[in-house]
Amino acid sequence: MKWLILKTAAAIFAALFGIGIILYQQNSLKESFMATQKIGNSFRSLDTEFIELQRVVLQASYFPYFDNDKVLTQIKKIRSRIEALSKDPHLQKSSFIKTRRDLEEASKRFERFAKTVYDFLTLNASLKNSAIYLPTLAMKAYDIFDTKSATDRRVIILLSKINAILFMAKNALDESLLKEIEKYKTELQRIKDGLSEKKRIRLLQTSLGHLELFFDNFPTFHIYLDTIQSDDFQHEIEKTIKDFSIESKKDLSDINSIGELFLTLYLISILVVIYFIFRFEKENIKLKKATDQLKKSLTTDHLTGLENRRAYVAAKRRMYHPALIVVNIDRFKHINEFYGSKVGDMVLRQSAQILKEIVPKPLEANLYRLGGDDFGILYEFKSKERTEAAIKEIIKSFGKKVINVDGIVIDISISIGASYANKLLETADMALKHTKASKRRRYTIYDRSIDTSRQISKNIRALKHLKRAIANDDIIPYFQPIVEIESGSVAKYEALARMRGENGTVLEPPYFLDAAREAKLSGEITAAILRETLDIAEESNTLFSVNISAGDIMNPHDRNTILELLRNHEACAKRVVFEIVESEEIEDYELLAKFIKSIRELGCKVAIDDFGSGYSNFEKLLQLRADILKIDGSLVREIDRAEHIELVVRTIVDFAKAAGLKTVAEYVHSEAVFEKIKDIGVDFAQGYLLGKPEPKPEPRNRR
Amino acid sequence: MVLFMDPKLSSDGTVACVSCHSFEHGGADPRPVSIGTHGKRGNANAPTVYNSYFNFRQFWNGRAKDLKEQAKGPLHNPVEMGMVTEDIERYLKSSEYYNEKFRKIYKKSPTHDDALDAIAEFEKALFTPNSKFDRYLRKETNLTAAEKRGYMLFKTLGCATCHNGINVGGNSFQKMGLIFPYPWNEKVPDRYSLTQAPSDKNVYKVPTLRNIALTAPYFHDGSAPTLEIALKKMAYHNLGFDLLDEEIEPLVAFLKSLTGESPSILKKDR
Repeated sequence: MKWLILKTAAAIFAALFGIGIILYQQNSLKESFMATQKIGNSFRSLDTEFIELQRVVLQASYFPYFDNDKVLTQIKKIRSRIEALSKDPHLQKSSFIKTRRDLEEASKRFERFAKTVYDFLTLNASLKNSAIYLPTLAMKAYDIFDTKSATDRRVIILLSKINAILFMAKNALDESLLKEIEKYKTELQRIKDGLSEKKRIRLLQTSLGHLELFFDNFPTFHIYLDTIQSDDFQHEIEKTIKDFSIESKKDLSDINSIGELFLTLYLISILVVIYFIFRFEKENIKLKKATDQLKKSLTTDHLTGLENRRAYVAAKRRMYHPALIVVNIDRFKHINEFYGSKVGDMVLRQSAQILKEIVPKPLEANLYRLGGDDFGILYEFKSKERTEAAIKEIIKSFGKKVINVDGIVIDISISIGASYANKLLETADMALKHTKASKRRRYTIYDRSIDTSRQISKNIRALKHLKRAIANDDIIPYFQPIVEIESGSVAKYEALARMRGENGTVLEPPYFLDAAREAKLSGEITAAILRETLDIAEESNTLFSVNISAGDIMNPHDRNTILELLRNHEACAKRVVFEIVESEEIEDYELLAKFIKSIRELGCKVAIDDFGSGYSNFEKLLQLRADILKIDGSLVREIDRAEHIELVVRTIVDFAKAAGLKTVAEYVHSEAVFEKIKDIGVDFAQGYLLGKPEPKPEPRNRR
Repeated sequence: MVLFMDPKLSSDGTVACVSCHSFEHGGADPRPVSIGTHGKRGNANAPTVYNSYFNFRQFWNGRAKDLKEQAKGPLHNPVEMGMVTEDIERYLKSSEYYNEKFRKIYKKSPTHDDALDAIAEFEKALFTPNSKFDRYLRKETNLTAAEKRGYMLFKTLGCATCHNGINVGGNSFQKMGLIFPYPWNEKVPDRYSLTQAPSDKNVYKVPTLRNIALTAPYFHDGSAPTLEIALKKMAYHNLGFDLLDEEIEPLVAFLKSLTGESPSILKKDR
């Protein structure tokens, strides 16, 4: 994390640095460009100002009235521009060494030029004054000299000639005329020397002074003017401009190439950033994958690959009106015990696979392993009919599938509980339990009636009903025929406990037996049934079998009540078979054996009930010296479908035969089952196919 | 201004700038030549300090390019104020008044250079605006007939050839005695003393004609005590003729119209 922050900070810093550099470069390029423009313009202005200076100097030379300030101002202007240029920060850069040298040279040249201009101004004033004054003198000559005298007229004419030639020389700047002027000057000197009148001498002397002044200074004046009008300085400026443009081009391209370098660096820094982002993203993806896997493993059942209960809970929450079908594998516990958990796992795995295939597609359902051997099918509820149809389809399709583990074909049936009520799983489970309890039903869709029956059983558990039933003799036996397979005739009847409820309803044991056991009242029920059965037995000569639990036998009171009843009906006792439910409850085998011995002495027979359902200890069984084995109904019911069950039953039958015990198969509900057990060699059969429990023993023949 | 009037800036404490640039005499010296410390006589008549900022150069021979450079001259000249840089700085630093003022204005204790700067700045303020002639040119007033005629003569006789520009002079060097030579000796403060070029003998900066009526005597040597004499001399030496009285009179009238208002900095202080 620390590294990530550092890297990010470094990347951001690099990016900012890059941007800064580029902005800086752009700015310096712009500044450089603008400075170049400014300096270039300044150089051009210098040129213009210099031309203006030359112009005003010319003005000074030709205009009689002229303000010298104009010249001085212009000189000052140029001087300060040169100074500003040579101090310009842009030109201080090392790239402009030549420009600086040129400028220095130009400055020196200009100072020389300025000096010439000052000298020119000095000379110009004198020459101009003389040029103005000589005509004035010529005019005065008219007053002083006599125009009628020929000699005097010659003086006036000479002065006029001098004025004309002077005008030409000055304005044409023609030095060749100086020779002419010299000639006139000599002549004037000669005339002056010949004069005597003071006034006349003075006039000519003054004229001569002016002429001499002009004659002496005109060449210098001419040189000054030529120098001033020459474009040496302009050449110097042009050269400076040229060098400057070369140097600034190079300067700009230098800045540009620095910029390109920085741009490259910037691009590199961007690439580095992209690389980091890419790497970060890659790590992120990896992390996300791992998280997803973890999430999946949390919501996946590892054995079947289906989603687990956690996923179911999450999925259900997202649904609008969820419906759930809970599929339970019947007798899975047996499969696990018989083949081992490895095979059990395979069964679960294959069952999951089968369910996946057979869940009707239009349901758009999700399949979950809710735990143990429970599978959940979750979908959006539409109608009860749809649900029912789906369940039937599932049961039908599942029946067609074969589970094959390492070559062993294991026939498996399923029970189903479904619900679309609130507390989905709870209610569906309730429905499943309802299915299981009935032994015949394959599926139940939860409705409130299931809840009602639960309520009744609860009430019974509250003992009120049960106690009243016992007191009112509402515990009554129903009789179901047990048929000898070989002869097909009824061999005996099993007395099954029923409870007369309110409104004439008759309730089956699941509704009260558990409650009775809990309240230690099962002995009373056993006693009540036995009493009734013995009474009936007195009036017939058939055999009866009565259920008794190990708990009843262990209770001395119940034990004595039973034995007393038997002694009171000594004659009938011989025709009573006690079906003892084989269970873990049998703690004291000695006591049990002692009881069995007692009832045997009275002529009763003993059967082990529900054999094969749970705790089956063959050795202990032998010690009990029972006469009959009743094969557990849940095994019998499936015998025609599951090979392993057939195997179990065969084993039981073989064992019984070897031990000299008769066997009874319960829950024979179909011909197929009957044929199977007949084939296996079971002695007796019992079930809906052969006769339902009835209030009275109704002797009836099979078929 | 305090510096300008402070005689302690001279070696014997007798001469200040104002000693030779008298505000009573148009910023010039009424004596033909200036007199320095210990009564030493100089070699020139002090030109007016008024409007001197507008001269293209300073001193008669233009050896100083600006006022600051000019101020240095008399301060250090042994025959004028006779000070050296160290003396000036020592004096200024010893004065509580100068210390405080210099710190306020130059953000440091007094230096020789800053003192010159201060003097030059003061001198810049010594200009005399709104002379009658100025107002005439601005068409605010009219000249008398004599003044007008003087102005005409000033132009046509060739005076304006040299005396032109804002200062009516002070913008070029010219020779004294173009036609008839003017007396010359080794001591005159001419261009020759700087350049040693023979043609520069008796070449001086053309003096300003502003306030000329107030700044007698005239010329570098103070040899013309009145305007009339000065005019005559100039006409003779540089134009080669004698001015007539009827020419002198209007010329003088014109020259008097060049007298301006006294510098406002001096008025305010009074």
